[in-house]
Amino acid sequence: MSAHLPILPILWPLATALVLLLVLRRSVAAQRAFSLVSLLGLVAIEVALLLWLSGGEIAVYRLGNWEAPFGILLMADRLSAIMLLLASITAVATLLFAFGDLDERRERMHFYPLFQFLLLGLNGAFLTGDIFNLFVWYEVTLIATYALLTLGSEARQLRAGLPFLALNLTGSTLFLAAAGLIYGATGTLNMAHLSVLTAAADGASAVVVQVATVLLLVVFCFKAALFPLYFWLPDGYPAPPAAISAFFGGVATKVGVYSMMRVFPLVFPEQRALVGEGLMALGAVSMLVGVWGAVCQTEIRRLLSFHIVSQIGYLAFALGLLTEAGVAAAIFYMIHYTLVKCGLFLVAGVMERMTGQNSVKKIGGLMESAPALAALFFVAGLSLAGLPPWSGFFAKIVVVVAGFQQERYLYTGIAVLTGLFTLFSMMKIWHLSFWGEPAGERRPVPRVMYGAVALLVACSVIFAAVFQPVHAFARQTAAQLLAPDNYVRAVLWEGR
Amino acid sequence: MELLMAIAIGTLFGAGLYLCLRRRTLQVVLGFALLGHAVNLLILNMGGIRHGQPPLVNPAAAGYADPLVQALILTAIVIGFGVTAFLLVLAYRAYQETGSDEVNSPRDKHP
Repeated sequence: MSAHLPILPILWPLATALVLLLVLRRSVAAQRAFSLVSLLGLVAIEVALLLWLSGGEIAVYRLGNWEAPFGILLMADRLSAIMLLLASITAVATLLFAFGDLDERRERMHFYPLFQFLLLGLNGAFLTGDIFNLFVWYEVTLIATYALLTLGSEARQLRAGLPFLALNLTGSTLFLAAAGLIYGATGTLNMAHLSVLTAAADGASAVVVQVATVLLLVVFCFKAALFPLYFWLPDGYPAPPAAISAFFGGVATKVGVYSMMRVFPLVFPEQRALVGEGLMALGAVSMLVGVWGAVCQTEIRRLLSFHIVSQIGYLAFALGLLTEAGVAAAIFYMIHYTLVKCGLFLVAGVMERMTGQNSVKKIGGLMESAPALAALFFVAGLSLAGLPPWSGFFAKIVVVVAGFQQERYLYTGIAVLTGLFTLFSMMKIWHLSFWGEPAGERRPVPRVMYGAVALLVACSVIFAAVFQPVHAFARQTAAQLLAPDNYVRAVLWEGR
Repeated sequence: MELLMAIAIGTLFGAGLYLCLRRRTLQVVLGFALLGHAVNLLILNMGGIRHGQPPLVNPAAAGYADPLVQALILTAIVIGFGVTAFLLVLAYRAYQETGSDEVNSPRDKHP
């Protein structure tokens, strides 16, 4: 059984989606119940996978039992297991929220199967060990994203959908071109095999490999919404209902960051300096541009979308250090930030539902009418800004420490400064919407929506409480990522 | 032959990029179709061009053409087809809903 564990996170959502689509399509209630039960099952599978891989083993699953590097293979390590579990926990909260948030028309328009297809694409991307296969999983993810983004066909969604689709399509085209170049230069697409061959490339091949590296950097920056390729995000993400945009904001952009973590240390071990410098510089600019964009916004979910750009900057900076401490900080930060960002989007969803308004200026006095919501926002908002004792504080500390260790004072300074601006923009929401004169309507909000927010905020608080063991685990993960030899051995030499 | 292919790829990329930067949605859709073709040709070229040889190892034949690039292109074509279909429907629905066929219509401004 355990030999087939790595492929279960792919098959499970696929089977679920098909059952939802073919068997349960008439009853919304049955779709809800089945999606939730299946998702809890997926969480259980991924916990088992995490426990199995936490010892440092690299699981290799050869599809059709083709020998590497000729067949497509799945590859799971600590990082994959963390990402899978993180995505599923966020998905549980999103799904619960969607029960209360979505109108029945959208639920009937196949929201639940589409959501499973999105998870399928994400899980595939987290597990694949083949660069062309990664492209295919990106496309699976993107097609589900396009459909969810425009689900319901409101004018705003359709208008936001077109540029979103066009820009992501550009990214996909470049990815395909990069995969073609890599295949031409080395004759393989298997990541572990590439690790050996790109290091050995010389002459014209070396140039092609370098071009492909830069192309992939551009592609992943696109997917992760890093400066200067972030502009599709603040328009696109606030358009769909809050449940959908929360999952996009929490998890979808992380695929880009995950791919950077996976591909650059493993596939291009010789290009580290180039990639590292590029990521740090882009990350630093992203932090500032994103947070400045957020400070100017009044529409809550648009404001939070700009914060995504800023937070991705932190991840790129920490990752760009390419030291064990730096990569560990990026992994650590990613866990914190996925939970908190998704939670904040859901808080915004509750605020919009309650007041019927989406601008902080038109909402006021929520502190008195909804104290529970205020408490949840307080924890999540301060956590995003990086104030102790919430999870963001520990996440920012490890990033800053990793930056200082490498004597990157300018970039680290920018990271600290960005925290200040983040606090300012969170205070803006707090002052205008939670304090002050009551403004906006007060409509009843289904309890389950509160429950979803509380779930994520509780996860972030637990994360802060056990930060030391989590950080130790993140360091082990980073050490594993930065030693490509282990992957080469596991994929190419073992199990023959 | 490879020079000819390189020129064709370059032309397709240029034309596709030009169309992608236009404001009307239909031109953008066509631009992406051209870009897709350009990338497919690029992949075909990267596998090396063998004239008139089968994509399998046949001991009787003088050599073989790389079958993997053809499989990759096939995958890319299928994905491209699906996305283009979605893009066309989306463009049409957006036109119905907003009465404009520009990618970023002037009414797009946020409050």
